Amino acid sequence: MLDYDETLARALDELLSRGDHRPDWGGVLRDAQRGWGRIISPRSPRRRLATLAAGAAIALLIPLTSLAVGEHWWFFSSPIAAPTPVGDVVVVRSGVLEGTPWVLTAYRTSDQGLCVAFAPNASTSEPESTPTTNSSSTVLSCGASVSGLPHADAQPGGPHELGFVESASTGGEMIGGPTAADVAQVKIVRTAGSPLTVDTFAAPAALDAPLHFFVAELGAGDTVQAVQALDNSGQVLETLTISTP
Amino acid sequence: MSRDTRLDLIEDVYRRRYDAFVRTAAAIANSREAGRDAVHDAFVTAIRHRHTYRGDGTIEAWLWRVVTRSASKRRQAKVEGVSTDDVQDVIWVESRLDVDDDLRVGVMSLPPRQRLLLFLRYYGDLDYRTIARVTGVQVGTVGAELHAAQRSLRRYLEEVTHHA
Repeated sequence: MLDYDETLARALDELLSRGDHRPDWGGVLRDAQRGWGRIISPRSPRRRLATLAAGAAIALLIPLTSLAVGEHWWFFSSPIAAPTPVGDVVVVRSGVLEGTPWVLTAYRTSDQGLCVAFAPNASTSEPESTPTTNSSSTVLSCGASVSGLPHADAQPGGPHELGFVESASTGGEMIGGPTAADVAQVKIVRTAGSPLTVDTFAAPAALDAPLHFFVAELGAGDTVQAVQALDNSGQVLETLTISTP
Repeated sequence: MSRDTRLDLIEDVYRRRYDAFVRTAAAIANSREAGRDAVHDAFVTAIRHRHTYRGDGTIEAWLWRVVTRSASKRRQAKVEGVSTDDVQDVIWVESRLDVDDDLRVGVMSLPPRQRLLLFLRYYGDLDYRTIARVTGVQVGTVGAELHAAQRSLRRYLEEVTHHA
């Protein structure tokens, strides 16, 4: 038996009327795509997309207002639980972009490889601190099949020379992620403006992984077209092309 | 079930039930704007995590779970201390502003679980079984809690009629 009170239903409808809302599926798809590296290979687009989907098997984009206070890192209290870490969550690098602090963290897991997370506007001194703006978003990506990581070659299409996550904040956008140890620089090709080349740096010892990382600050509205891994001589080791939503 | 099949199913549910999702999320978040944002965020999360849907229960019930969690995080509980513009966006109030606010006060005075069940029933148009799946509450408990919530709210509606 379904107990349904028509009078009550009408009264509630008056407070929140029907049919006032228009769906925006395109916007949902665009935002869903932003966080997990929209990678397409010229040779086999679908396969490479699947590879990177696997490489970012757990990708969360959470409004910063939803970050938990007092529950350690935000990704452990997100709507869908992040993989359990083996060892500590390590702060790889932090900085300030247009007045907005950001932090790139990473941790190892027993079954999901490496997890990498961006949290703009988060304090690095207090892991449980809550960012203060609601116009930024955080992203967690796990399972990147980067050379040097255990079982990286077991991933379809893997291993890669690099993996990456992007994150938008009030001050602009960030891109960063792990690379193989032989990657000396990463070149970020944008749809507008000149390419941006950044040096990689060794992973913190606490991570206990033979990797390098890169981080780049992008301007607000910058769209990344491709990311290239370069060796010491400037030779391109791999190019990951990013599809436009 | 392949990922793309899941994406198609998610899109179908989104387009078909969008209005119900937003109304329910707005009721939970106590803000129309936050409700729209919560639904948007929930479906972004759902698309990214569609591989975690294991097929135990309908995908619509799974999506309702994601939406209710997203909306709960955005809930604005108090009308006090917000700007005039914000007051217009707030749906439920804790104290009476005028006689027409009896139902708004009544909803806010319900225990949180009854309030959630009520929103899923009336704004989400969900049956008891689906509500039970979404909330993790036994079907019998859903019925009992909804019955109690409706009884409380009828009293507030009678007050409105009496004052009128």
